[in-house]
Amino acid sequence: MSDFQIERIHNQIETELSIFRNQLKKLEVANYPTKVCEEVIVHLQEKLQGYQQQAQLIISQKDDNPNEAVRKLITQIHNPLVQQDIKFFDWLRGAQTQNVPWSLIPCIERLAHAIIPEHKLLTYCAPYYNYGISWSQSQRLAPYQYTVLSLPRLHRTNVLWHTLIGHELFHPRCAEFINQHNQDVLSEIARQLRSSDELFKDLDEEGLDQFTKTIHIAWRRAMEELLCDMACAELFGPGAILATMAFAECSPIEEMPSPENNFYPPRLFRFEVVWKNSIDLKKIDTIYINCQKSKAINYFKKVMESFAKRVSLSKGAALLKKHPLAKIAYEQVQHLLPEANKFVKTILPKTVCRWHCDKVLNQIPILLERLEKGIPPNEILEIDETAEKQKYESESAELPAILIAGWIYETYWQNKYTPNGEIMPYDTISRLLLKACDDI
Amino acid sequence: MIDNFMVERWNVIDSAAMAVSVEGLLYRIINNKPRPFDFDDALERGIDFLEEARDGGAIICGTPEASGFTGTLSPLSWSTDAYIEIEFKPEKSEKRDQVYEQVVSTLKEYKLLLESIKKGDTLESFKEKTQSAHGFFRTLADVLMKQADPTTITYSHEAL
Repeated sequence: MSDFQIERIHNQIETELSIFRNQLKKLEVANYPTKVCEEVIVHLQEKLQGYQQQAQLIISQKDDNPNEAVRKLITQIHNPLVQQDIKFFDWLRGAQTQNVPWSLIPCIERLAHAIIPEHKLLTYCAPYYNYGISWSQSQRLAPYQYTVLSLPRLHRTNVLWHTLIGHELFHPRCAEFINQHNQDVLSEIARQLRSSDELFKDLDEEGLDQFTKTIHIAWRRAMEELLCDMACAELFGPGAILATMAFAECSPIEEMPSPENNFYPPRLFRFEVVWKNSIDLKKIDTIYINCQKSKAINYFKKVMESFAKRVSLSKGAALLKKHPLAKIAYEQVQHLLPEANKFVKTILPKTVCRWHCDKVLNQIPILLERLEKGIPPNEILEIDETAEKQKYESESAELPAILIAGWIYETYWQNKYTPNGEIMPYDTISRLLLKACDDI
Repeated sequence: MIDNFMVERWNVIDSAAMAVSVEGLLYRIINNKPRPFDFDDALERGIDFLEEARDGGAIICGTPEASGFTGTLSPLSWSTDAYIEIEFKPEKSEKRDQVYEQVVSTLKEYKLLLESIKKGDTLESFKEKTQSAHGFFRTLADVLMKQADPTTITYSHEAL
Protein backbone atom coordinates (compact mmCIF):
# COMPACT_ATOMS: atom_id res chain seq x y z
CA MET A 1 0.00 0.00 0.00
CA SER A 2 1.65 3.25 -1.12
CA ASP A 3 1.49 6.58 0.67
CA PHE A 4 -0.34 7.91 -2.38
CA GLN A 5 -3.14 5.39 -1.92
CA ILE A 6 -3.47 6.16 1.78
CA GLU A 7 -3.65 9.86 0.98
CA ARG A 8 -6.36 9.27 -1.61
CA ILE A 9 -8.52 7.34 0.86
CA HIS A 10 -7.85 9.89 3.59
CA ASN A 11 -8.81 12.76 1.28
CA GLN A 12 -11.96 10.98 0.17
CA ILE A 13 -13.00 10.48 3.78
CA GLU A 14 -12.27 14.12 4.63
CA THR A 15 -14.47 15.16 1.68
CA GLU A 16 -17.26 12.83 2.77
CA LEU A 17 -17.14 14.25 6.29
CA SER A 18 -17.23 17.79 4.94
CA ILE A 19 -20.25 17.11 2.67
CA PHE A 20 -22.02 15.36 5.52
CA ARG A 21 -21.42 18.37 7.78
CA ASN A 22 -22.85 20.76 5.17
CA GLN A 23 -25.95 18.62 4.69
CA LEU A 24 -26.50 18.66 8.45
CA LYS A 25 -26.31 22.46 8.46
CA LYS A 26 -29.13 22.54 5.90
CA LEU A 27 -31.20 20.09 7.93
CA GLU A 28 -30.60 22.17 11.04
CA VAL A 29 -32.66 25.12 9.75
CA ALA A 30 -35.82 23.10 9.07
CA ASN A 31 -38.77 22.82 11.48
CA TYR A 32 -39.41 19.66 13.45
CA PRO A 33 -42.45 18.92 15.62
CA THR A 34 -40.43 18.04 18.75
CA LYS A 35 -36.88 18.42 20.08
CA VAL A 36 -35.73 14.88 19.15
CA CYS A 37 -34.51 15.76 15.66
CA GLU A 38 -32.48 18.69 16.94
CA GLU A 39 -30.83 16.30 19.41
CA VAL A 40 -30.11 13.88 16.57
CA ILE A 41 -28.39 16.63 14.57
CA VAL A 42 -26.19 17.61 17.53
CA HIS A 43 -25.36 13.94 18.06
CA LEU A 44 -24.37 13.53 14.40
CA GLN A 45 -22.19 16.65 14.52
CA GLU A 46 -20.34 15.17 17.52
CA LYS A 47 -20.04 11.88 15.70
CA LEU A 48 -18.42 13.62 12.70
CA GLN A 49 -15.96 15.33 15.01
CA GLY A 50 -15.11 11.91 16.46
CA TYR A 51 -14.49 10.50 12.97
CA GLN A 52 -12.22 13.41 12.15
CA GLN A 53 -10.08 12.84 15.27
CA GLN A 54 -10.00 9.11 14.58
CA ALA A 55 -8.78 9.70 11.01
CA GLN A 56 -5.96 11.86 12.33
CA LEU A 57 -4.91 9.18 14.82
CA ILE A 58 -4.95 6.52 12.10
CA ILE A 59 -2.83 8.68 9.81
CA SER A 60 -0.40 9.49 12.62
CA GLN A 61 0.37 5.75 12.96
CA LYS A 62 0.38 4.89 9.27
CA ASP A 63 4.14 4.42 8.97
CA ASP A 64 4.10 1.43 11.36
CA ASN A 65 1.76 -0.51 9.10
CA PRO A 66 0.26 1.26 6.06
CA ASN A 67 -2.09 -1.65 5.38
CA GLU A 68 -3.59 -1.36 8.86
CA ALA A 69 -4.12 2.38 8.35
CA VAL A 70 -6.03 1.86 5.12
CA ARG A 71 -8.18 -0.91 6.54
CA LYS A 72 -8.98 1.16 9.61
CA LEU A 73 -9.97 4.21 7.56
CA ILE A 74 -12.33 2.03 5.56
CA THR A 75 -13.86 -0.05 8.35
CA GLN A 76 -13.97 2.49 11.17
CA ILE A 77 -15.03 5.60 9.26
CA HIS A 78 -15.96 5.15 5.59
CA ASN A 79 -18.23 2.10 5.93
CA PRO A 80 -20.34 3.26 8.89
CA LEU A 81 -20.58 6.78 7.43
CA VAL A 82 -21.72 5.87 3.92
CA GLN A 83 -23.91 2.94 4.91
CA GLN A 84 -25.47 3.78 8.24
CA ASP A 85 -25.04 7.41 9.32
CA ILE A 86 -26.21 8.62 5.94
CA LYS A 87 -29.66 7.11 6.56
CA PHE A 88 -30.31 9.99 8.94
CA PHE A 89 -30.58 12.37 5.96
CA ASP A 90 -33.77 10.66 4.76
CA TRP A 91 -35.03 10.14 8.28
CA LEU A 92 -34.56 13.80 9.20
CA ARG A 93 -36.09 15.09 5.96
CA GLY A 94 -39.06 12.79 6.44
CA ALA A 95 -39.42 13.93 10.07
CA GLN A 96 -39.78 17.64 9.26
CA THR A 97 -43.01 19.24 10.42
CA GLN A 98 -44.55 19.52 6.94
CA ASN A 99 -43.81 15.84 6.22
CA VAL A 100 -45.34 14.16 9.29
CA PRO A 101 -48.71 14.20 11.08
CA TRP A 102 -47.14 16.76 13.39
CA SER A 103 -49.96 16.97 15.92
CA LEU A 104 -49.76 13.22 16.54
CA ILE A 105 -45.97 13.13 17.05
CA PRO A 106 -45.97 14.19 20.75
CA CYS A 107 -48.62 11.48 21.45
CA ILE A 108 -46.47 8.88 19.70
CA GLU A 109 -43.39 9.98 21.63
CA ARG A 110 -45.25 9.78 24.95
CA LEU A 111 -46.45 6.27 24.15
CA ALA A 112 -42.94 5.26 23.04
CA HIS A 113 -41.46 6.64 26.23
CA ALA A 114 -43.79 4.40 28.24
CA ILE A 115 -43.25 1.23 26.17
CA ILE A 116 -39.56 1.58 25.32
CA PRO A 117 -38.24 4.07 27.89
CA GLU A 118 -34.59 3.56 27.02
CA HIS A 119 -35.07 4.51 23.37
CA LYS A 120 -35.40 8.00 21.91
CA LEU A 121 -37.94 8.00 19.13
CA LEU A 122 -37.61 9.71 15.76
CA THR A 123 -40.79 9.45 13.67
CA TYR A 124 -40.76 10.07 9.93
CA CYS A 125 -42.88 9.42 6.87
CA ALA A 126 -41.30 7.05 4.38
CA PRO A 127 -41.95 6.79 0.63
CA TYR A 128 -43.30 3.26 0.81
CA TYR A 129 -46.49 1.55 1.83
CA ASN A 130 -45.66 0.14 5.23
CA TYR A 131 -45.12 0.86 8.87
CA GLY A 132 -41.68 0.05 10.24
CA ILE A 133 -39.35 0.42 13.17
CA SER A 134 -35.55 0.29 13.30
CA TRP A 135 -33.20 0.26 16.23
CA SER A 136 -29.63 -0.71 17.00
CA GLN A 137 -27.93 -2.93 19.54
CA SER A 138 -24.58 -1.68 18.31
CA GLN A 139 -22.95 1.17 20.22
CA ARG A 140 -21.37 2.47 17.03
CA LEU A 141 -23.87 2.02 14.24
CA ALA A 142 -26.92 4.10 13.41
CA PRO A 143 -29.53 4.63 14.54
CA TYR A 144 -27.41 4.39 17.79
CA GLN A 145 -29.58 5.10 20.81
CA TYR A 146 -32.44 6.29 18.61
CA THR A 147 -35.32 4.21 17.43
CA VAL A 148 -36.75 5.20 14.08
CA LEU A 149 -40.44 4.75 13.40
CA SER A 150 -41.70 5.08 9.85
CA LEU A 151 -45.24 5.82 8.67
CA PRO A 152 -46.42 5.49 5.05
CA ARG A 153 -46.04 8.90 3.41
CA LEU A 154 -49.16 8.74 1.24
CA HIS A 155 -51.24 8.15 4.38
CA ARG A 156 -49.49 10.85 6.42
CA THR A 157 -52.68 12.34 7.84
CA ASN A 158 -54.54 9.06 8.15
CA VAL A 159 -54.48 9.02 11.92
CA LEU A 160 -56.84 6.03 12.13
CA TRP A 161 -54.30 3.81 10.41
CA HIS A 162 -51.61 5.18 12.70
CA THR A 163 -53.26 3.11 15.44
CA LEU A 164 -50.70 0.57 14.21
CA ILE A 165 -47.93 2.44 16.04
CA GLY A 166 -49.05 0.33 19.02
CA HIS A 167 -47.82 -2.70 17.08
CA GLU A 168 -44.56 -1.14 15.90
CA LEU A 169 -43.49 0.30 19.24
CA PHE A 170 -43.65 -3.13 20.86
CA HIS A 171 -41.12 -4.70 18.46
CA PRO A 172 -38.04 -3.80 20.55
CA ARG A 173 -39.61 -5.55 23.58
CA CYS A 174 -40.21 -8.92 21.86
CA ALA A 175 -36.72 -10.31 22.47
CA GLU A 176 -37.39 -10.41 26.22
CA PHE A 177 -40.10 -13.01 25.68
CA ILE A 178 -38.49 -14.84 22.78
CA ASN A 179 -35.13 -15.27 24.55
CA GLN A 180 -36.89 -16.92 27.49
CA HIS A 181 -38.24 -19.67 25.24
CA ASN A 182 -35.68 -19.78 22.44
CA GLN A 183 -33.67 -22.78 23.62
CA ASP A 184 -36.64 -24.96 24.55
CA VAL A 185 -38.35 -24.26 21.25
CA LEU A 186 -35.17 -24.93 19.26
CA SER A 187 -34.69 -28.28 20.99
CA GLU A 188 -38.34 -29.21 20.51
CA ILE A 189 -38.22 -28.37 16.80
CA ALA A 190 -35.07 -30.49 16.36
CA ARG A 191 -36.67 -33.35 18.32
CA GLN A 192 -39.87 -33.28 16.26
CA LEU A 193 -37.97 -33.25 12.97
CA ARG A 194 -35.80 -36.18 14.00
CA SER A 195 -38.70 -38.23 15.31
CA SER A 196 -40.79 -37.63 12.20
CA ASP A 197 -41.19 -40.98 10.47
CA GLU A 198 -42.40 -39.89 7.06
CA LEU A 199 -41.42 -36.65 5.44
CA PHE A 200 -37.99 -35.99 6.92
CA LYS A 201 -36.71 -39.52 7.39
CA ASP A 202 -34.34 -39.43 4.39
CA LEU A 203 -32.61 -36.20 5.40
CA ASP A 204 -28.99 -36.24 6.58
CA GLU A 205 -27.78 -34.18 9.56
CA GLU A 206 -27.09 -31.12 7.45
CA GLY A 207 -30.56 -31.24 5.89
CA LEU A 208 -32.19 -31.60 9.28
CA ASP A 209 -30.16 -28.67 10.60
CA GLN A 210 -31.26 -26.53 7.68
CA PHE A 211 -34.93 -27.32 8.30
CA THR A 212 -34.51 -26.75 12.05
CA LYS A 213 -33.08 -23.32 11.29
CA THR A 214 -35.89 -22.42 8.88
CA ILE A 215 -38.65 -23.58 11.24
CA HIS A 216 -37.00 -21.75 14.11
CA ILE A 217 -36.96 -18.49 12.12
CA ALA A 218 -40.63 -18.99 11.22
CA TRP A 219 -41.45 -19.49 14.92
CA ARG A 220 -39.49 -16.40 15.99
CA ARG A 221 -41.02 -14.18 13.31
CA ALA A 222 -44.51 -15.41 14.17
CA MET A 223 -43.96 -14.70 17.86
CA GLU A 224 -42.64 -11.21 17.11
CA GLU A 225 -45.63 -10.24 15.00
CA LEU A 226 -48.17 -11.82 17.32
CA LEU A 227 -46.69 -10.22 20.44
CA CYS A 228 -46.88 -6.83 18.70
CA ASP A 229 -50.44 -7.50 17.52
CA MET A 230 -51.42 -8.40 21.06
CA ALA A 231 -49.79 -5.24 22.42
CA CYS A 232 -51.64 -3.09 19.88
CA ALA A 233 -54.91 -4.84 20.77
CA GLU A 234 -54.25 -4.37 24.48
CA LEU A 235 -53.84 -0.62 23.89
CA PHE A 236 -56.46 0.10 21.25
CA GLY A 237 -58.78 -2.96 21.24
CA PRO A 238 -61.19 -2.87 18.30
CA GLY A 239 -59.25 0.11 16.91
CA ALA A 240 -56.21 -2.18 16.50
CA ILE A 241 -58.27 -4.80 14.68
CA LEU A 242 -59.91 -2.31 12.33
CA ALA A 243 -56.59 -0.59 11.60
CA THR A 244 -54.90 -3.90 10.74
CA MET A 245 -57.86 -4.87 8.55
CA ALA A 246 -57.91 -1.53 6.73
CA PHE A 247 -54.15 -1.47 6.18
CA ALA A 248 -54.13 -5.07 4.90
CA GLU A 249 -57.23 -4.69 2.72
CA CYS A 250 -55.21 -4.84 -0.51
CA SER A 251 -52.91 -7.67 0.65
CA PRO A 252 -53.42 -11.45 0.72
CA ILE A 253 -54.52 -12.67 4.13
CA GLU A 254 -53.81 -16.36 3.75
CA GLU A 255 -50.23 -16.17 2.49
CA MET A 256 -48.04 -18.79 4.15
CA PRO A 257 -44.82 -17.74 5.91
CA SER A 258 -41.74 -18.08 3.68
CA PRO A 259 -38.29 -16.53 3.19
CA GLU A 260 -39.79 -14.37 0.41
CA ASN A 261 -42.17 -12.62 2.83
CA ASN A 262 -39.72 -12.52 5.75
CA PHE A 263 -41.73 -15.33 7.38
CA TYR A 264 -44.72 -13.09 8.16
CA PRO A 265 -47.48 -15.14 9.75
CA PRO A 266 -50.70 -15.19 7.66
CA ARG A 267 -52.88 -12.20 8.54
CA LEU A 268 -55.93 -14.38 8.93
CA PHE A 269 -54.15 -16.34 11.66
CA ARG A 270 -53.04 -13.08 13.30
CA PHE A 271 -56.66 -11.90 13.40
CA GLU A 272 -57.74 -15.19 14.97
CA VAL A 273 -55.05 -15.02 17.64
CA VAL A 274 -55.78 -11.41 18.60
CA TRP A 275 -59.53 -11.90 18.71
CA LYS A 276 -59.34 -15.04 20.82
CA ASN A 277 -56.57 -13.97 23.18
CA SER A 278 -56.60 -10.21 23.53
CA ILE A 279 -60.13 -8.87 23.12
CA ASP A 280 -62.53 -8.86 26.05
CA LEU A 281 -65.92 -9.30 24.38
CA LYS A 282 -67.77 -7.90 27.39
CA LYS A 283 -65.96 -4.61 26.90
CA ILE A 284 -66.99 -4.56 23.24
CA ASP A 285 -70.58 -5.05 24.44
CA THR A 286 -70.08 -2.09 26.78
CA ILE A 287 -69.12 0.06 23.78
CA TYR A 288 -72.33 -1.03 21.96
CA ILE A 289 -74.44 -0.14 25.00
CA ASN A 290 -72.67 3.15 25.77
CA CYS A 291 -72.93 4.33 22.18
CA GLN A 292 -76.47 3.15 21.47
CA LYS A 293 -77.67 6.71 20.75
CA SER A 294 -75.20 7.05 17.88
CA LYS A 295 -76.26 6.34 14.33
CA ALA A 296 -72.81 4.87 13.70
CA ILE A 297 -72.86 2.14 16.30
CA ASN A 298 -74.92 -0.37 14.32
CA TYR A 299 -72.45 -0.23 11.45
CA PHE A 300 -69.58 -0.76 13.85
CA LYS A 301 -71.44 -3.67 15.46
CA LYS A 302 -72.07 -5.23 12.06
CA VAL A 303 -68.38 -5.02 11.14
CA MET A 304 -67.30 -6.51 14.48
CA GLU A 305 -69.83 -9.35 14.25
CA SER A 306 -68.77 -10.18 10.74
CA PHE A 307 -65.14 -10.19 11.89
CA ALA A 308 -66.01 -12.47 14.84
CA LYS A 309 -67.75 -14.88 12.50
CA ARG A 310 -64.82 -14.93 10.13
CA VAL A 311 -62.23 -15.69 12.79
CA SER A 312 -64.43 -18.22 14.60
CA LEU A 313 -63.85 -20.65 11.72
CA SER A 314 -60.11 -20.81 12.58
CA LYS A 315 -59.28 -21.17 8.90
CA GLY A 316 -55.89 -19.50 9.35
CA ALA A 317 -54.80 -22.03 12.00
CA ALA A 318 -56.12 -24.88 9.84
CA LEU A 319 -54.12 -23.68 6.83
CA LEU A 320 -50.90 -23.67 8.82
CA LYS A 321 -51.49 -27.26 9.94
CA LYS A 322 -51.53 -28.42 6.32
CA HIS A 323 -47.97 -27.26 5.71
CA PRO A 324 -45.43 -29.70 7.25
CA LEU A 325 -42.83 -27.09 8.28
CA ALA A 326 -45.31 -24.41 9.38
CA LYS A 327 -47.16 -27.06 11.38
CA ILE A 328 -44.12 -27.69 13.58
CA ALA A 329 -43.35 -23.96 14.01
CA TYR A 330 -46.93 -22.97 14.78
CA GLU A 331 -47.52 -25.80 17.27
CA GLN A 332 -44.84 -24.08 19.34
CA VAL A 333 -46.52 -20.73 18.71
CA GLN A 334 -49.95 -21.99 19.82
CA HIS A 335 -48.45 -23.51 22.93
CA LEU A 336 -46.97 -20.15 24.00
CA LEU A 337 -49.91 -17.86 23.18
CA PRO A 338 -51.45 -17.68 26.69
CA GLU A 339 -48.06 -16.90 28.17
CA ALA A 340 -47.36 -14.33 25.43
CA ASN A 341 -50.63 -12.60 26.16
CA LYS A 342 -49.80 -12.48 29.86
CA PHE A 343 -46.32 -11.13 29.05
CA VAL A 344 -47.74 -8.29 26.95
CA LYS A 345 -50.24 -7.28 29.62
CA THR A 346 -47.56 -7.32 32.31
CA ILE A 347 -44.84 -5.55 30.40
CA LEU A 348 -46.99 -2.61 29.27
CA PRO A 349 -46.68 -0.15 32.15
CA LYS A 350 -49.76 0.64 34.23
CA THR A 351 -49.41 4.30 33.34
CA VAL A 352 -50.32 3.55 29.72
CA CYS A 353 -54.03 4.02 29.14
CA ARG A 354 -55.75 0.94 27.66
CA TRP A 355 -58.96 0.74 25.67
CA HIS A 356 -60.81 -1.42 28.20
CA CYS A 357 -60.50 0.86 31.22
CA ASP A 358 -63.71 2.52 32.40
CA LYS A 359 -62.43 6.01 31.66
CA VAL A 360 -61.93 5.21 27.97
CA LEU A 361 -65.20 3.26 27.66
CA ASN A 362 -67.07 6.22 29.12
CA GLN A 363 -65.33 8.75 26.90
CA ILE A 364 -66.01 6.93 23.61
CA PRO A 365 -69.73 7.87 23.21
CA ILE A 366 -69.08 11.52 24.05
CA LEU A 367 -66.18 11.78 21.60
CA LEU A 368 -68.18 9.96 18.94
CA GLU A 369 -70.98 12.50 19.33
CA ARG A 370 -68.51 15.37 18.90
CA LEU A 371 -67.08 13.76 15.79
CA GLU A 372 -70.54 13.27 14.28
CA LYS A 373 -71.11 17.01 14.75
CA GLY A 374 -67.80 17.87 13.08
CA ILE A 375 -66.12 18.90 16.34
CA PRO A 376 -62.62 17.58 17.20
CA PRO A 377 -63.07 14.74 19.74
CA ASN A 378 -60.50 16.11 22.16
CA GLU A 379 -62.28 16.67 25.48
CA ILE A 380 -65.17 15.73 27.71
CA LEU A 381 -67.08 18.84 28.69
CA GLU A 382 -69.38 18.79 31.66
CA ILE A 383 -71.66 21.74 32.27
CA ASP A 384 -72.96 22.32 35.77
CA GLU A 385 -76.22 24.20 35.20
CA THR A 386 -77.33 23.99 38.81
CA ALA A 387 -74.75 26.55 39.92
CA GLU A 388 -75.64 30.23 39.88
CA LYS A 389 -73.24 30.84 37.05
CA GLN A 390 -72.83 27.93 34.59
CA LYS A 391 -69.61 26.03 35.32
CA TYR A 392 -67.61 24.05 32.75
CA GLU A 393 -65.50 21.06 33.75
CA SER A 394 -63.19 19.70 31.08
CA GLU A 395 -61.39 16.38 30.92
CA SER A 396 -58.83 15.56 28.23
CA ALA A 397 -59.67 12.70 25.91
CA GLU A 398 -57.49 9.60 26.04
CA LEU A 399 -55.79 8.48 22.81
CA PRO A 400 -57.51 5.03 22.73
CA ALA A 401 -60.89 6.74 23.17
CA ILE A 402 -60.21 9.18 20.30
CA LEU A 403 -59.12 6.39 17.99
CA ILE A 404 -61.97 4.02 18.82
CA ALA A 405 -64.53 6.81 18.43
CA GLY A 406 -62.88 7.56 15.10
CA TRP A 407 -63.05 3.94 14.00
CA ILE A 408 -66.72 3.64 14.96
CA TYR A 409 -67.44 6.70 12.84
CA GLU A 410 -65.32 5.26 10.03
CA THR A 411 -67.56 2.16 9.78
CA TYR A 412 -70.54 4.48 9.35
CA TRP A 413 -68.66 6.62 6.84
CA GLN A 414 -67.71 3.56 4.74
CA ASN A 415 -71.41 2.73 4.36
CA LYS A 416 -72.86 6.18 3.97
CA TYR A 417 -70.33 8.36 2.20
CA THR A 418 -71.31 9.90 -1.11
CA PRO A 419 -69.50 12.88 -2.58
CA ASN A 420 -72.58 15.14 -2.36
CA GLY A 421 -71.35 16.90 0.76
CA GLU A 422 -73.86 15.43 3.21
CA ILE A 423 -71.16 13.54 5.02
CA MET A 424 -67.69 14.91 5.58
CA PRO A 425 -64.91 13.45 3.43
CA TYR A 426 -62.38 11.04 4.92
CA ASP A 427 -59.69 13.70 5.00
CA THR A 428 -61.89 15.88 7.22
CA ILE A 429 -62.35 13.01 9.69
CA SER A 430 -58.58 12.60 9.76
CA ARG A 431 -58.02 16.31 10.37
CA LEU A 432 -60.60 16.43 13.19
CA LEU A 433 -58.88 13.47 14.83
CA LEU A 434 -55.45 15.02 14.37
CA LYS A 435 -56.72 18.25 15.92
CA ALA A 436 -57.97 16.21 18.86
CA CYS A 437 -54.54 14.60 19.28
CA ASP A 438 -52.93 18.02 19.18
CA ASP A 439 -54.98 19.12 22.17
CA ILE A 440 -54.42 16.21 24.53
CA MET B 1 -38.26 -2.06 0.60
CA ILE B 2 -38.49 -3.28 4.17
CA ASP B 3 -37.60 -0.70 6.76
CA ASN B 4 -38.08 -2.90 9.79
CA PHE B 5 -34.82 -4.00 11.21
CA MET B 6 -32.60 -4.21 14.22
CA VAL B 7 -28.86 -3.59 13.87
CA GLU B 8 -27.32 -6.57 15.66
CA ARG B 9 -24.63 -5.91 18.24
CA TRP B 10 -22.27 -8.06 16.17
CA ASN B 11 -23.21 -6.82 12.70
CA VAL B 12 -20.90 -7.15 9.72
CA ILE B 13 -19.72 -3.50 9.72
CA ASP B 14 -18.80 -3.42 13.41
CA SER B 15 -17.26 -6.88 13.24
CA ALA B 16 -15.08 -5.97 10.25
CA ALA B 17 -13.77 -2.93 12.15
CA MET B 18 -13.08 -5.10 15.20
CA ALA B 19 -11.22 -7.74 13.16
CA VAL B 20 -9.04 -5.08 11.48
CA SER B 21 -8.18 -3.51 14.84
CA VAL B 22 -7.24 -6.83 16.47
CA GLU B 23 -5.28 -7.89 13.41
CA GLY B 24 -3.36 -4.59 13.52
CA LEU B 25 -2.70 -4.94 17.23
CA LEU B 26 -1.31 -8.49 16.89
CA TYR B 27 0.84 -7.44 13.92
CA ARG B 28 2.36 -4.70 16.06
CA ILE B 29 3.09 -7.15 18.90
CA ILE B 30 4.74 -9.65 16.54
CA ASN B 31 6.83 -6.94 14.85
CA ASN B 32 7.70 -4.95 17.98
CA LYS B 33 5.89 -1.85 16.81
CA PRO B 34 4.34 0.75 19.16
CA ARG B 35 0.85 0.10 20.50
CA PRO B 36 -2.02 1.32 18.30
CA PHE B 37 -4.13 4.24 19.55
CA ASP B 38 -7.11 1.89 19.96
CA PHE B 39 -5.23 -0.83 21.89
CA ASP B 40 -7.62 -1.21 24.86
CA ASP B 41 -10.78 -0.91 22.80
CA ALA B 42 -9.56 -3.43 20.21
CA LEU B 43 -8.74 -5.99 22.90
CA GLU B 44 -12.05 -5.47 24.66
CA ARG B 45 -14.07 -5.92 21.49
CA GLY B 46 -11.94 -8.83 20.29
CA ILE B 47 -12.57 -10.66 23.56
CA ASP B 48 -16.31 -9.90 23.40
CA PHE B 49 -16.51 -11.16 19.83
CA LEU B 50 -14.67 -14.41 20.62
CA GLU B 51 -16.89 -14.94 23.64
CA GLU B 52 -20.05 -14.54 21.53
CA ALA B 53 -18.66 -16.91 18.87
CA ARG B 54 -17.65 -19.46 21.51
CA ASP B 55 -21.09 -19.34 23.18
CA GLY B 56 -22.74 -19.76 19.79
CA GLY B 57 -20.55 -22.83 19.27
CA ALA B 58 -21.66 -24.21 22.61
CA ILE B 59 -25.25 -23.99 21.35
CA ILE B 60 -24.41 -25.97 18.23
CA CYS B 61 -22.42 -28.56 20.16
CA GLY B 62 -25.11 -28.74 22.85
CA THR B 63 -22.73 -28.25 25.77
CA PRO B 64 -23.90 -26.95 29.19
CA GLU B 65 -22.34 -23.53 28.50
CA ALA B 66 -25.18 -23.04 26.02
CA SER B 67 -27.85 -22.28 28.61
CA GLY B 68 -28.79 -18.64 28.72
CA PHE B 69 -27.22 -17.73 25.37
CA THR B 70 -29.16 -14.81 23.94
CA GLY B 71 -26.75 -13.68 21.25
CA THR B 72 -26.56 -14.49 17.57
CA LEU B 73 -24.72 -17.19 15.67
CA SER B 74 -23.13 -14.76 13.20
CA PRO B 75 -19.77 -14.45 15.03
CA LEU B 76 -19.49 -18.26 15.12
CA SER B 77 -20.42 -18.56 11.49
CA TRP B 78 -17.87 -15.92 10.35
CA SER B 79 -15.19 -17.41 12.62
CA THR B 80 -15.81 -20.86 11.18
CA ASP B 81 -15.45 -19.50 7.64
CA ALA B 82 -12.12 -17.90 8.57
CA TYR B 83 -10.92 -20.98 10.43
CA ILE B 84 -11.70 -23.31 7.55
CA GLU B 85 -10.08 -20.97 5.05
CA ILE B 86 -6.74 -20.77 6.84
CA GLU B 87 -5.97 -24.03 8.44
CA PHE B 88 -8.57 -26.67 8.29
CA LYS B 89 -10.15 -28.62 5.47
CA PRO B 90 -12.76 -30.93 6.97
CA GLU B 91 -12.86 -34.49 5.68
CA LYS B 92 -16.15 -35.40 4.07
CA SER B 93 -16.70 -38.07 6.67
CA GLU B 94 -15.97 -35.69 9.53
CA LYS B 95 -19.05 -34.87 11.51
CA ARG B 96 -20.07 -31.24 11.48
CA ASP B 97 -20.26 -31.16 15.29
CA GLN B 98 -16.60 -32.16 15.46
CA VAL B 99 -15.66 -29.24 13.20
CA TYR B 100 -17.50 -26.84 15.48
CA GLU B 101 -15.84 -28.39 18.53
CA GLN B 102 -12.43 -27.67 17.02
CA VAL B 103 -13.43 -24.13 16.09
CA VAL B 104 -14.74 -23.49 19.61
CA SER B 105 -11.59 -24.87 21.18
CA THR B 106 -9.41 -22.61 18.97
CA LEU B 107 -11.54 -19.57 19.74
CA LYS B 108 -11.13 -20.26 23.45
CA GLU B 109 -7.35 -20.27 23.01
CA TYR B 110 -7.43 -16.97 21.12
CA LYS B 111 -9.62 -15.46 23.80
CA LEU B 112 -7.13 -16.54 26.48
CA LEU B 113 -4.35 -14.99 24.39
CA LEU B 114 -6.12 -11.61 24.12
CA GLU B 115 -6.85 -11.70 27.85
CA SER B 116 -3.16 -12.36 28.56
CA ILE B 117 -2.16 -9.43 26.35
CA LYS B 118 -4.68 -7.28 28.18
CA LYS B 119 -3.10 -8.29 31.50
CA GLY B 120 0.31 -7.32 30.10
CA ASP B 121 1.86 -10.82 30.09
CA THR B 122 5.11 -11.24 28.16
CA LEU B 123 4.99 -12.41 24.57
CA GLU B 124 7.68 -15.13 24.52
CA SER B 125 5.50 -17.84 26.02
CA PHE B 126 2.77 -17.47 23.41
CA LYS B 127 4.59 -16.27 20.30
CA GLU B 128 3.30 -19.10 18.13
CA LYS B 129 -0.26 -18.61 19.29
CA THR B 130 0.01 -14.87 18.50
CA GLN B 131 1.10 -15.69 14.94
CA SER B 132 -1.82 -18.06 14.54
CA ALA B 133 -4.31 -15.57 16.02
CA HIS B 134 -2.97 -12.84 13.73
CA GLY B 135 -3.60 -15.09 10.72
CA PHE B 136 -7.09 -15.81 11.97
CA PHE B 137 -8.05 -12.15 12.49
CA ARG B 138 -6.50 -11.15 9.16
CA THR B 139 -8.60 -13.74 7.35
CA LEU B 140 -11.66 -12.82 9.39
CA ALA B 141 -11.11 -9.16 8.47
CA ASP B 142 -10.83 -10.10 4.78
CA VAL B 143 -14.04 -12.13 4.92
CA LEU B 144 -15.97 -9.40 6.73
CA MET B 145 -14.59 -6.48 4.72
CA LYS B 146 -15.86 -8.16 1.57
CA GLN B 147 -19.30 -8.55 3.11
CA ALA B 148 -19.34 -5.02 4.53
CA ASP B 149 -18.29 -3.36 1.29
CA PRO B 150 -21.09 -0.93 0.34
CA THR B 151 -20.59 -1.45 -3.38
CA THR B 152 -21.43 -5.14 -3.11
CA ILE B 153 -24.19 -4.75 -0.50
CA THR B 154 -26.25 -2.49 -2.76
CA TYR B 155 -26.65 -3.35 -6.43
CA SER B 156 -25.99 -0.67 -9.01
CA HIS B 157 -28.15 -2.47 -11.56
CA GLU B 158 -31.25 -3.09 -9.47
CA ALA B 159 -34.41 -3.07 -11.59
CA LEU B 160 -36.82 -0.25 -10.83
